[in-house]
Amino acid sequence: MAGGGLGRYLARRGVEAALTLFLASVLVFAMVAALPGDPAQVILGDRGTPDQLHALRAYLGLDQPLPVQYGRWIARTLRGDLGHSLINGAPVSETVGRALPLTLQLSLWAFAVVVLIAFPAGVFAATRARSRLAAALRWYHGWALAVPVFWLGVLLSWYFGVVLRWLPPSGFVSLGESPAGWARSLVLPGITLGLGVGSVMARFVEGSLADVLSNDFVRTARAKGLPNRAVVWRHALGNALIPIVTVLGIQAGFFIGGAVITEAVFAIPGLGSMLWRSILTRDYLVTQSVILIGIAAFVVINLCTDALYGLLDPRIRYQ
Amino acid sequence: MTGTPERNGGLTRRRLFRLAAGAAAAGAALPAAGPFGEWALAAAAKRGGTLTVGVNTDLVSLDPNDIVFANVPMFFQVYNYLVKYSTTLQPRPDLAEFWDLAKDGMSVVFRLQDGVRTHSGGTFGADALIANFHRTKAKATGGGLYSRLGDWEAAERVDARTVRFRFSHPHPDYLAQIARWGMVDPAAFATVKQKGGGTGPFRVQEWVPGDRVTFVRFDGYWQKGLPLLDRVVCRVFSDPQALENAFQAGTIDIAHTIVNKDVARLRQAGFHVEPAPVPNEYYVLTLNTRRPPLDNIKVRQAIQLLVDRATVSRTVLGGVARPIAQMVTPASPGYDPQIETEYAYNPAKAKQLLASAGAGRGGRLNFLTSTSTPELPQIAQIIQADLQKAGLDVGITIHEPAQYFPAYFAGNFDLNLSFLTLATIDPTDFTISSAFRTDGTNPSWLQTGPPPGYIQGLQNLNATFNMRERWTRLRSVIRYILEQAWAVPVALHLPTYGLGKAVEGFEVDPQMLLQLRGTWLNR
Repeated sequence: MAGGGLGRYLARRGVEAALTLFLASVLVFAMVAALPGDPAQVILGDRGTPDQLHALRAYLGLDQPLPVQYGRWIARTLRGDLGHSLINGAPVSETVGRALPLTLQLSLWAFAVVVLIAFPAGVFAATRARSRLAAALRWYHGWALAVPVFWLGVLLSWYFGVVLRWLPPSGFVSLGESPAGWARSLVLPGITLGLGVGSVMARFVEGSLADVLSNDFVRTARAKGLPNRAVVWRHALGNALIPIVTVLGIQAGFFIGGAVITEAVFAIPGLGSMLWRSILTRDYLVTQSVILIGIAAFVVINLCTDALYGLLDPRIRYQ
Repeated sequence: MTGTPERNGGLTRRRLFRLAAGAAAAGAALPAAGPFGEWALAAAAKRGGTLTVGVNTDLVSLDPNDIVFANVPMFFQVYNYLVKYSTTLQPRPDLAEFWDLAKDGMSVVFRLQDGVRTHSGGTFGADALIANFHRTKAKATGGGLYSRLGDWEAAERVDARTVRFRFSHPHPDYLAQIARWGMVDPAAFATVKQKGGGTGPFRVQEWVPGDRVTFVRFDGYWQKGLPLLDRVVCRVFSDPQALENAFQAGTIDIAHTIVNKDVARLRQAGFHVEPAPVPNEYYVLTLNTRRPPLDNIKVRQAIQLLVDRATVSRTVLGGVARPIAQMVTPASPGYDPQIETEYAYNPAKAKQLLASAGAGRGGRLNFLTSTSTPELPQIAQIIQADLQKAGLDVGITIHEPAQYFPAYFAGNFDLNLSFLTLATIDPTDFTISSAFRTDGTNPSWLQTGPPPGYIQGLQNLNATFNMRERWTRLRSVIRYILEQAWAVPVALHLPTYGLGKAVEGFEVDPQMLLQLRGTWLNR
């Protein structure tokens, strides 16, 4: 792999990413603006008179034409200022700045759960395809995929938090405040968010690895007398990794979406619960900003995934 | 007409008894009763500690003028009001130690408590009260209270602690109009929405939207010896089940509020759950009189008799919130028990009314409701089933609040289920809700406004200052509304509070404001 090649490739993908983000910003703005509902009405509730509503809409800038509203938002966003919440007036950048690290930490825990489930379970099922345990694992994956995240979260919170009292049923403790408390507060949300994706990935690892294991070079390696562990984990899995990493990248991008429910169930004030609240209250600026950040995260994860291909398979050349 | 200090306060009986018994058992002599009996009792209680309250809605702002559902319960920690209401629905002094209404009813004088300090260290006197008046009278900063003070014309300084307010016309309901008027520290006007600032027992330390708001004890609080707690942390739980789990696990001290139908289960498991002492809201079915067949009064009256309130209360509301057929809190003198019998579920009579209403019942009725509470869609389903049994075709439309309100105010409904304010501290309280507006913005009577009989009834009610007479006159207004059948009360909307074992001295006023200045932790 030529370093210059990777640099040029990443630069080109960077330009494409910027274009994607611009188009996404237009789409996100249009879609959020098309949502029926009115934040002024949410603020005033049942008691707001038509006069008050009119005044509040003007105060919030909602009486301006949509292109003007978009222009203001995007100009501010490019300057790093995401504006102020229409509902509570808090600076969106500040709120996002507080919430994003929480969602990233939750995603990290969920990612760990995914890896811990996907690789051992996937490799076992691929190498012992006819065993009873592999069949049980496949049944389990079906269950884990079917179980609603919301239900799973509530159940885990109730059983481990209320009945057994092993872990806190909800809430977030920062790492600085208490490392043990931080870990304990993220165990259940991490499992809730990662369990389903872990099963998706386990099935994918199983399928991908099974394909590679049927290749001639695996037979050759075994014929050479290499131990089974080295054949599977070093040679076969290494070759199966590219599609796995691609899917893992895509699934990791979905963590932000999945965090909406998980954060609500575990009362974690992250980006997901922020997005959920903002949609319910039609807090347009917050919704737009959070979705755009989610898209940006998705684009960055995919860029990183592309860059990883070269490291995983030296035959790949970037052009 | 003057105000007098409260002697016995609004503690729940159970708490009051526990507190008094505890003090007696410890051989502690209760301090001499001060102006507020409950605070004197609380002086025998433990001091310090952090109380964690779980709430299911986030604050919209820290400005007391923003009187939306989510904000109101926590405002008493930061702000004082001129008067507050006891659980016997009597006005009692708070920041105002005394008030006097002029004989002609055109002005009122308030004298403030002595030595009131603001959170910024200033003095709260007549000038500060007048500054608050002007702030609330301004459209930009008046929030939900702007229209409430519409007829309050001027504020004049009488002396350093006394202010006279002048009205454009006599206002028998003047105290109710300011019952939710929290006093802001003038030095905090510019930042009050985000940072708060008043004269209350706690200062705002930090507000993290969507997560928590932290209040810390205000050492300069004017009621000596209060508050008892060092800190109150109010944590937001978007999911009701998460709130209940946190309460059961003991990670929060107070759950505000528990879903009604879970109350029995929690009580059975040994948890202490109490409903608000005075209900001030109710679920109500409103009918769009502008649309056929609901423009026919007989059809509306039939629907009124088809609502099986007892089933709603027993099932969806877990038997906690009782059925109600009128817009008046059961604790008030305006409550008429006879109405509950007269307008009880009566499908046979309803069918007769529908038959006599003749042909042309129209097509499918659009039943609008929202997800403002988890119970609303479930109650709507019970009513839908009742109406369908009588041959009315009903389809339910459920919207989240942001989408619901525009549809409702545009009159895009035949039937609508929401929760509104009861007549609680004043007979006119219920008229604050849109369904009882007197003009063409009333969604049940778009463009035309409600019938003249309703408006005349309200005028008659407001023609006297005698509270007993006002409550009596309210009964005829309510009867008129029920006769016209555009609003059909269904059941109380009753907040229920999960109280941890250590929580003592918890108090909720009739407007659902949590008063934590006398609350303490027994641990």
